[in-house]
Amino acid sequence: MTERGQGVGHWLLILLALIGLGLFVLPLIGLIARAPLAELGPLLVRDVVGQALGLSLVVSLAALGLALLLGLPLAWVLARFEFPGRRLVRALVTLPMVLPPVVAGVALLTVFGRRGLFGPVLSALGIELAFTTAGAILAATFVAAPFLIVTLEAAFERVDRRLEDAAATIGATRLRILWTVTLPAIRPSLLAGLALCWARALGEFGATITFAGNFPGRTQTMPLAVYEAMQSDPDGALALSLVLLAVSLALLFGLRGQLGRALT
Amino acid sequence: MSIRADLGLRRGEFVLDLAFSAPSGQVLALLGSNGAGKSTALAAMAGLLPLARGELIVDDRILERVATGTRLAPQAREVGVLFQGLALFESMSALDNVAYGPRSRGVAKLEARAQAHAWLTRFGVADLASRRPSQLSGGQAQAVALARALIVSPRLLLLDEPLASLDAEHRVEARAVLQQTLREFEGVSVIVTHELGDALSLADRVLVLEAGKRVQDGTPEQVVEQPATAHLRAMVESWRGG
Repeated sequence: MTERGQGVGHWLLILLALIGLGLFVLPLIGLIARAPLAELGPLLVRDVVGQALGLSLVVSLAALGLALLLGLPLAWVLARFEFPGRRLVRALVTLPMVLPPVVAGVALLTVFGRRGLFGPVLSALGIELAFTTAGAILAATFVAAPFLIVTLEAAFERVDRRLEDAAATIGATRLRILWTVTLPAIRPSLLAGLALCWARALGEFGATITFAGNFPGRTQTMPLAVYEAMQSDPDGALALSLVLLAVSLALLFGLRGQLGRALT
Repeated sequence: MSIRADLGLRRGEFVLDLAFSAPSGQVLALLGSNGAGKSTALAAMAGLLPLARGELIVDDRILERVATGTRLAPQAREVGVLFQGLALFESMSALDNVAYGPRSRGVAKLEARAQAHAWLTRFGVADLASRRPSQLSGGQAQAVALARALIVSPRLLLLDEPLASLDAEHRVEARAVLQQTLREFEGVSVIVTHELGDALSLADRVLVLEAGKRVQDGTPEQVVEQPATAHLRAMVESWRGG
């Protein structure tokens, strides 16, 4: 024992810790125990499942790309420039991390919905976002990108500026420095941020169902398909859940210590 | 070829106000304690910090002149910098570190690598070309960093505490490499250091900085024989003692 002090409280803390552990582990055991492992193959090749899986991949990867395209410059600006309102911008950018996703969906509707702020403009341009695959991508980006931005901003702040200075003095331009010096130097953080962002996008439910709806083949991603299957086809729901769980575990394993390091 | 510098800038409470000129081939040491402003002066000359007042002219080329709003970016200055800690790119081999400058200036990959290899050969480290910077000794890494700075043919060479991060064993070797490099370099070299010994062994002329101002300008012998301030006298005495 390295902890100081004994007494009843000591054992109470350990008991509560064990109950906490059970809370996190038991559902996982239940999921695996109850899953129809024998019929997993046939369950997973059904059209609905295949469709949801494919759509989830498309939506989450597109969201990841969009988050990188817009989130990396945002993180860079936040890390490198002093400007009035920087703290406010940072708070706004990270808000989706704590915002209930369904609220995010409603908020997206008020801007990009048919009757939203930009609805008429988008309609005139022939662009429909609400209740389309593009809308599902937008919803996933909105809730997932902050994970990438926060991780990257911290990394941009920590990187040794002399590396960039050195690259600049021997002739490299801004984008070349970013691509060849800065990003390789923060590679672990970049990978961790991308993984977190992708995992969040893959699991996105509330904002998607609110803003994009639940249309098989169009906006019904895996989490939405799980939710719907629970009503009529519990075995299917279990099989789908198992797939999502496997992806999450694979991500966690792939990152190992990096996740913790990148976030602190 | 020469340098004319009149460097004025302010960072918080600190004010840098330093003017000097030097003919080409001269090796100039900026000697001072921490906070004397020597690294600030170096960053300003490299174009990494804007001047608030003054100018910098190298070989009749105006790199910066506040009065006319002229200010060349670091990329355009033709200034080579040996950074404190060397700042080698860990994601690249020693060869690609050196080839980085020519590559950034549009030289084709093969040609850039050939040039880089020639520089590594010149510094006697060509056999280490494929190593990562962390796999090099202090002296070897310094040779690679010098090659990286010199391959783009700078007209002004700036060295920030070139020997400070080396242990005693590698210092001797690195000092010899530096002396040779500085002797062969045709432009002006400016060495920033807080170690009197380094200034004396590397430079032809020593500028002593205290609180952003020049307090002495002379040969190494003059600085040692007639130190201009009490602080410098203490530095000389501790150097003699060591």
